[in-house]
This record gives sequence, structure tokens and C-alpha cells, in this order.
Amino acid sequence: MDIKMKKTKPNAEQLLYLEQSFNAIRDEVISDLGERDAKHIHKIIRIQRSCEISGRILIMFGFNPIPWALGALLLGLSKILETMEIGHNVMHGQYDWMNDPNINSKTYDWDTACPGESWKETHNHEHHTYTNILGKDRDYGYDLLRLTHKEKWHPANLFQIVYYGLLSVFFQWGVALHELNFGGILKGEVSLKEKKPFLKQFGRKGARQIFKDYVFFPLIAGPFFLQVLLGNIVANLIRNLWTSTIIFCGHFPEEVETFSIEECENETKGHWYYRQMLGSANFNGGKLLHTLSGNLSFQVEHHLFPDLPAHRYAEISPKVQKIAKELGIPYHTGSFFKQYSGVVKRILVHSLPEPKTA
Amino acid sequence: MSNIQNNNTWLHKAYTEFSMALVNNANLKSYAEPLIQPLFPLWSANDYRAQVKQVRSESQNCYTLVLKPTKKWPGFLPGQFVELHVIKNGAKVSRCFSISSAPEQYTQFGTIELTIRAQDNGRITPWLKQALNEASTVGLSAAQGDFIIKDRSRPILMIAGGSGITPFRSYLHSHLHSQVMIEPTQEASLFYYARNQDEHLFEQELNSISDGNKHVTTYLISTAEMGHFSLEQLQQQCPDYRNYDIYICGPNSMIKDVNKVLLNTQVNEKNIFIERFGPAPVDFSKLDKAGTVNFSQSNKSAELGSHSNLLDLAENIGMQPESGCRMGICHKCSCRKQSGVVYNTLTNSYSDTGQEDIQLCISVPVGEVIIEL
Repeated sequence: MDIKMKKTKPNAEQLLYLEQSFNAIRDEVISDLGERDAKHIHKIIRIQRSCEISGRILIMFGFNPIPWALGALLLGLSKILETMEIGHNVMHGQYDWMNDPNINSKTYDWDTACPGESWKETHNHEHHTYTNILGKDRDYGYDLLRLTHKEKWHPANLFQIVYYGLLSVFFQWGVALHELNFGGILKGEVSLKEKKPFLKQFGRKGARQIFKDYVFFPLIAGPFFLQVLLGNIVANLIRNLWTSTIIFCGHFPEEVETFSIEECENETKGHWYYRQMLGSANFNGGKLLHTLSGNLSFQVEHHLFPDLPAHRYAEISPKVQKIAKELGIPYHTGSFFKQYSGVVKRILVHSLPEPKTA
Repeated sequence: MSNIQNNNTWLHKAYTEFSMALVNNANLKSYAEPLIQPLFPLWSANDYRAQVKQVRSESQNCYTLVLKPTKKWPGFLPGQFVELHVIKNGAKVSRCFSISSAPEQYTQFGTIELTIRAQDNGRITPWLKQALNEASTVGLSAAQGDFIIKDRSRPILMIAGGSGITPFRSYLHSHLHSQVMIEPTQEASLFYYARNQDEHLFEQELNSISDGNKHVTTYLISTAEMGHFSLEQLQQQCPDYRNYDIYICGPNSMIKDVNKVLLNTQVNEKNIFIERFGPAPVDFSKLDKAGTVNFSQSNKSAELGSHSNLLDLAENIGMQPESGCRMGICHKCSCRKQSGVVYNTLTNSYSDTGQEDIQLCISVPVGEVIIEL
């Protein structure tokens, strides 16, 4: 928990060493980028499209529950791959060096309700630059959950485990509306008027997603309208629950720390690296788990190097850990179960006010 | 680049919207491309594709690619160029090359030829010769460029330097075959400059063309012996040059010199047509990291001066490019570089010379750079 004693902060010299060491890791990967990475993303894209096409066919023509369920699962799997290992990573610019307009952060838009443009602003820019700075990184608790004693308690926090459940079920819509800054609007800090361009973008993208999964494919199924509609709802639900779980495991496990705006004023790249390490958490698992999480199971490495192809994180992880150990900087990791139960615990603990200490 | 016509009919708009809704891409075919292309390498959603038929050496450092484009490719006129797209180490690279063969060869055999000089410091041109073989497929743009015969009823004078002979080879072959080029009774004269005799490409071919056609004359001039282009040479071989349309293709320094000589002798500027090569490879050891930038869409240009990167520079001259973290991580300020070299301050490396996306906040122009902004 964040009440525990913070380790002593590295001094300027150590931060410089951190900066140089991490830059060197980055340079090594950059100079090695090539066919292997292109092959990887092409392979994932082929698997994703095969899953999507076969999933949609099975949902439509699987005339009994087993093939139908398999279809929904395949479509869900395709959506998970598309959101995590393809969409999220491509939109970070991890494959921009390939110079391929279909795998490029400028043009790519993903299969979720969140407009790509909006995501690049709220996630790539705000969240990745100001990671876990309270008051600047709205990803921290999504204006909905209180996850640290540094934030004031409100009676509405009592039920935040319910909000968390609902957010997970409708995760793509929660992510899509993130830019709206509902909290800011309620507090009167942001006017609805200035959010108009975003709302237009959101309306367009949301409508497209609804059209695809809940109108077009059910309609062309004719008499099987309902089974297709239901299959698509299930597939979206699978994806929403999974991505929400992964994202929460990245920044909200118990040991992850937060920062104040003052702490990060005029920070060096070394301090930025340091903050990314304290503000993120990994979980371990097999190759399949890593791929399905878009390699965000290496959230620490992702936050250090957001635009390196994510399948490389596993390779550079030992080097990152070695440097962290040298400098005594914590490297947060644990089993998937440990990290996730830490998240749930954190949501529950902070739904209650802290007992007054004498 | 794209073969999808940029029309604004409601049908096209509806298709785009439908495709965006289904696959979040303006073209449904792009969604299928990763599944289809491994099986049918000549199939493509947006590009044209071509099969490599032959890689032929022309001289010590020049070679010709014989390509067979797919049926969809719309053909070309003598003097036009294509963009060749190849994948090198996972990344798509593009280079422009003039077509050195005649359209008649394309109609008859379905093939086109690109004659390429392996540049001394080039990253692509020397590699391309090794990398391509008869089993390769490449991407191809539609033919572009307006270095074509403007007026068929006038005699033409062609001035070529080095590998700048390529569009003229297309002119001359086409002239032999048909009347597309210029009327057969009009004069066509070629002045072809190269350092020495060994560096003249297609020597036999050019000689036999002029031997077989009394209206075509070719002069192969080696600059080591006879010097660069001069008025004396011109007056000697082609005294009524003022009546000609003059077409020039070669290195930029040659174009500059020839143009100056011609304008000084009162040749009408309207009768001079020029084709420039793309940016030459850069010798990185001789560079300093200061350059000039042209922003092509806003029609502004600036020098780096005291600014540390392209983003600062653009903002300083009143532009408002999209930007984000300003430290090279968020890619919000990525935009298209049309040509030129930039130095990446994050990776400490130089970019390619051709078209690609760069991040403004960590890019420093080197020499002349053109940015689509």
C-alpha cells in the first residue's frame, strides 16, 4: 500500500545513470528492428482476421449452442488481439518504421468505440507522459475510483466496487468517453461546449461500431438475427472484461505508487524513467498470456519504451531488472492472480475512509 | 500511389463509410490484404504490383530491372517515372525511377524497364540489385511526371547527363516505333554527357538508332576528353537550336549549368523542359546538422537557426502542427517527410532520403527537407 515507507529516491547522479542505461537498451532494440518484427505483427494480424472471419461465420451458421459459443469465443479472441497486440501497439507508433500505411499510428483506428484520435491524445500523450501524477493522469482511477489515501474520500466511494464492475462490462465505452472528462464537467472545470469536436468524433465512431456488431451482421443473418446479435454482444463482453482486467493490473496493484505535480516539475528523462518504473506493474505468465494482453503484462517495459514493438519487452525485461536492482529501484511484478487480487483489494480498501489516527 | 480513384461520388462516399464501419479502414480490400497477399503476391489493395522478369547489368555501376506490371497498371508515356516500392528489412522503402523503355514494348510484351545507377553512398540502389531476382515481386505506382513531349510538331533537342539518359531512351525507342512521340519528319538530337566512354549507357543501341533513322542524331560526349556542355558544342552540332524544344535530364549541377548557357543565348524559357533527379544520397561524414525546411502544404520554408527541432521551428514560424509529449514517445507530431534527410535526436541516427513518417519533436533537418504540413 502507498502508506508504506517510500524507498530513498535515487540522487541526480543515479538518475543520470538510469537515463543512460535505459537509453542504451532502447538504442539496441531500435538498431535491431527489422524483418522479425514485421513478421510478428503480420502474423498476429493474420491470426486476428482468421479468428474474426471464422468467428462471425460460426455465430451465424452454427445452428446449435456449441459452434455458436465457439464462434462468440473466436470473435471475442479476435477483438482482444485487435485491441491489445494490434490496435494499442500500432497506435503507439511501434511499427511506424515499417512505413506501411495500414500499420501506422497516424492512420490506424481500432475495433473499439473509442476514436483513435481521442485515444492518442488521452492515452499516448496524457497518460504516458504524466503517468500516475495525481491531478494530471486521469487514467489513475478514471475519475471514478479512489485508489489512494492521497485522494479525499467521498461517500460515493462506498460503492466503487460496483462502479468498477460496470466499467469493466462497458469498458470500450468507458474508454471512449474518457476524453469527455465527465468529472471535470461536473466540477465546472471543463465546459461541454469545448468538448463538442470530441463528441462529434465519438458519435461517429460509436455509431460505426454499433452498426457493425448490432445492426449489419445481425441483419444479414436474416432469420438468425437474434443469435448473431447475442453472439456479438458476448464477444464484445469478453473483450471488455479482459482488457479492463489487464489495464487495471498495469497501474493499480497494491505496490504501485503515485506522484504529485510538484514532484515532477522540470523532471529529467531519468526521473521520468524512474516514475514509470514506480507507477507500473507487470504480471508473469506464458507466451499466450503475454500476447493476449498485448504484452502489457510487461507494463513496466511498456511505460519505459512505449513505442518499441511490444513483443520485444520480454527480451529486454532482464536488462531492465538488472539496472533497477543496481539502483535499488523496485520492479513491480507478481503472478496474474496476485496482481489482480491486489487491484480488487485496493478498490475495496479505498472505498472506505481511512481510520483517524491519533 | 493509390489506384482507388479519388472521386467524391455518393457511391464512393457510401463505400468508404461502410468500409470504415466494418473494418475501420477506408478500403475493405486493405483488411483482406494480409490474408491474400501471402498466397497471391501480385494482389494488392492499394498499390500496383509487378513481377521482376530480369535484372540486367548495363555497366559497372548501372543495371536495368525488367518488370511486368499486373494488368491493372494504367500504362505510361515516354519520359514518365514510377515509384518503386520494396520491403527492406521489414520496412517499406520507395524510390522514383524514370522508365527507360518505350510504351510499345509495354503494349507488346507487357514489360517496362527501369535503369538504375547504384549510388556510391546509397542505401537502396546498390542493395536492390542484390535483393531482387526473377522470383521477386515489387510495388509500383502509376506512371507520373510531365517530362513528356509537349509539342509533337516541333524538333527536339535532348541533353542528358549520366543516368539522365533513361527518359530519352524511352523517347527514342518510342520514336522508332510510332508517331506518338514527335512527327517522324521532325528532327531529334541527343547530347549525352558522361565522365568517360565506359560510362555511356546503351552506347550501341543509341548509335544504331541514329544510324537507322536520318532524322535522329546522337552525340555521345565524354566530359573527361571534351569538357562539359558548352555553347560551342551546341552551335557546332545543332546550329538552329533556337527552333528546338529542349529537354534536359541529369544531375542538378549539370541542369543548372546548361540552363544558364541556354538562357544567356536567348533561348525562350518556355522551350526548355527539365527533369531533376530526386535527392542524392548523403555522405554523412560531411554533414552538419543544420538545414532548411519546406513545409509543402502551408507553403512556408525556414532555416533551422537556433531551434532544436522541426516542431519548435514550425511553431516559431506561426504553424500549429499537432503535438504532444515533445519527447518522442507519443507520436502525435508524426508527419510525412516527402524528401530529404533528418537527424533523429532520440536514436541518434539519420533517416532515409525518401518518403516516410517522422516525429517532428525529435527531428533535425539535414540539408534540404520537404515536409507535408
